[in-house]
Amino acid sequence: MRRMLNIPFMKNRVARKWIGSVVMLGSFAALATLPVAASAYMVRTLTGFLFFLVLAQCFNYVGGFSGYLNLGQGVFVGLGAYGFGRLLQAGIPCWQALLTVAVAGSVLGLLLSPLLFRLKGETFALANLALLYILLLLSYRWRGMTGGADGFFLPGGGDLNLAYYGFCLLAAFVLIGAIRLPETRLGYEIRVIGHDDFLAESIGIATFSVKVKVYVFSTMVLSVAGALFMLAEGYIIPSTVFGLQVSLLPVAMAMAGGLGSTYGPVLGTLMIFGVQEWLWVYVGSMEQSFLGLLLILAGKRDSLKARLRRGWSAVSSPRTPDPLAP
Amino acid sequence: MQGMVEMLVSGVLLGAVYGLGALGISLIFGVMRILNLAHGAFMVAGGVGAWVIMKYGGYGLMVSVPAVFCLTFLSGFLLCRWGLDRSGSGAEPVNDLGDLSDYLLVTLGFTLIVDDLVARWSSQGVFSLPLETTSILFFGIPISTFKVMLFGMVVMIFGAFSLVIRVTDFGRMIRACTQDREGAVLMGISYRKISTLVFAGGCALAGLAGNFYLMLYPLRAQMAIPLTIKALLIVVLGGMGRVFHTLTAAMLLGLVEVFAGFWGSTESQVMIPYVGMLAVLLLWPEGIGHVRIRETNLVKLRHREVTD
Repeated sequence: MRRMLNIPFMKNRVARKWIGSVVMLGSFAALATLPVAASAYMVRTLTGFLFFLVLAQCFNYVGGFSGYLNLGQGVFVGLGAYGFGRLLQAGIPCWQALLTVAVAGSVLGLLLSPLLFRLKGETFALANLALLYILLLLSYRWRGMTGGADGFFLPGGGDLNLAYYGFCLLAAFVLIGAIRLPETRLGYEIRVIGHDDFLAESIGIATFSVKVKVYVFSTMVLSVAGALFMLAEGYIIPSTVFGLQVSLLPVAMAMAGGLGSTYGPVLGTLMIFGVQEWLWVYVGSMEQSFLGLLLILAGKRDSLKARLRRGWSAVSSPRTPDPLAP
Repeated sequence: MQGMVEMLVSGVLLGAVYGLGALGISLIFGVMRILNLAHGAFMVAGGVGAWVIMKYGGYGLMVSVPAVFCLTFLSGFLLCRWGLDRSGSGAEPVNDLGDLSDYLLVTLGFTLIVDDLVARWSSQGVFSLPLETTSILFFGIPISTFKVMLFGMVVMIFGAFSLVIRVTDFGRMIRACTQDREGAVLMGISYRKISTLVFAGGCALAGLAGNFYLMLYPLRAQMAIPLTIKALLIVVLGGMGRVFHTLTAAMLLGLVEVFAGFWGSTESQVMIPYVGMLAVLLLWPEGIGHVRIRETNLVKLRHREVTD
């Protein structure tokens, strides 16, 4: 990557952005022709990939830029999925249902954010996790609405190709947002907040409204992603959307690629999703241990990086350890 | 009446066991300023370890308690040194997030792995011990002697820890680190040593809590995160650093849980810790006891950065 950036015209920021856009448009065009050319398995795999890409990018918007770790992203994914399913069941056309879910997701995010953003740091993460568990238990209990443990069938089954195109559009939307955001005023403000909340407030940033804007954007995208997931699968049980996989895997993905960067989550999703697909095929069901291992590695990424750079033993026996480091 | 008294006893006992776990979390938070999300995993691991010792070894509590204590202490020590210790990495966290997300993810990941291994190991996903106990009559109401003994043990452990923290040098070092990390280091206390020992000790307390929990109720897979949430809830409710407040809050939670299981349904019983956690966090966002300390510490850290 660094060598590529040394080519003269790649040093030009505008040219780089243009090349990036062209490459991305090209890849999306390639993705768009896929259902015609490739097998259903391929389409399903790519749909899953795009789903996690969107989720990782959403985590990055809130967690990476503003520093608020949303460990309960599945809340909105699940609400979007069940809401969409109920709307389709009521006979509402697909695109109208999607639109309704998007609006409802953002309104719900708007209502929730004044409560959640009173918290910070680990309490924010904990509150989101608690919310996720409450919804998981509620959705098992409220059989009339969600079908409980028997699952919820989408009337007429899912439409994989349609969902796939939807995910392509959603991923493009989210990626363009991730490219544009750091250059906008909002992007600068949110990164200042992520660096230091007090500092941001003292230089006159309306921290609360900035956080709410980004959070509401993420909840909107998350609920649409949930609806599209429902459309792709055609059948869900509470633990597929409110389970820990949907909420925590994107965290590991965003972390692995680099939190707070634009393309980091894409890279992280590619790596982890690839490994996971391999694992499912060749090893079998060790998802949860795998997820745990990923989270640990993601949490230790700084020291792993240092070890890779300086060699194992040089790092593990520091000559002058920082007495204050935990 | 008799059922009521029995429930009261079980609730208080369950609460005392939760309190043991919460005591560990509050110690660790005090010194290291981190919420140990792996606490529930240590409780489950301690319970399963005790199950193995009692079922296959045929030993009683007198063997399993020290054994579980040592094992969980050791694994907590290793988790702290390999998982949470940043001093070897040479990497400075960019901001508060750097630190925060790292330990949250490491402890959560550890929890998931323990949970999965436990679920995979037990065929039905349940670990339980059949207990036959005698009862004593208390005003004509039979109370299991075993439960009384267990309660006595828990209270003794509480007392012992309280004593260690109050009168020994080690306890003074812990309190010094809790009050002011920089000051403690300047006084010649090795913060790294103290924090590792406290983390391991907290995990060992969690392991003991798991052992006692196994004596009361069957342990299940997928229990680690609920147990962590319960312990955190107790810490938030009872405030940090006050052993008997923690014990009171824990007994309250235990009683609420037992009575919810009786009057409500199992599902409502399962919901309690999450709803309680969310309610407490949303009603008192600055935390009742413990988060305020973190705030002042952050202000101090910022002050140091500015003056540097």
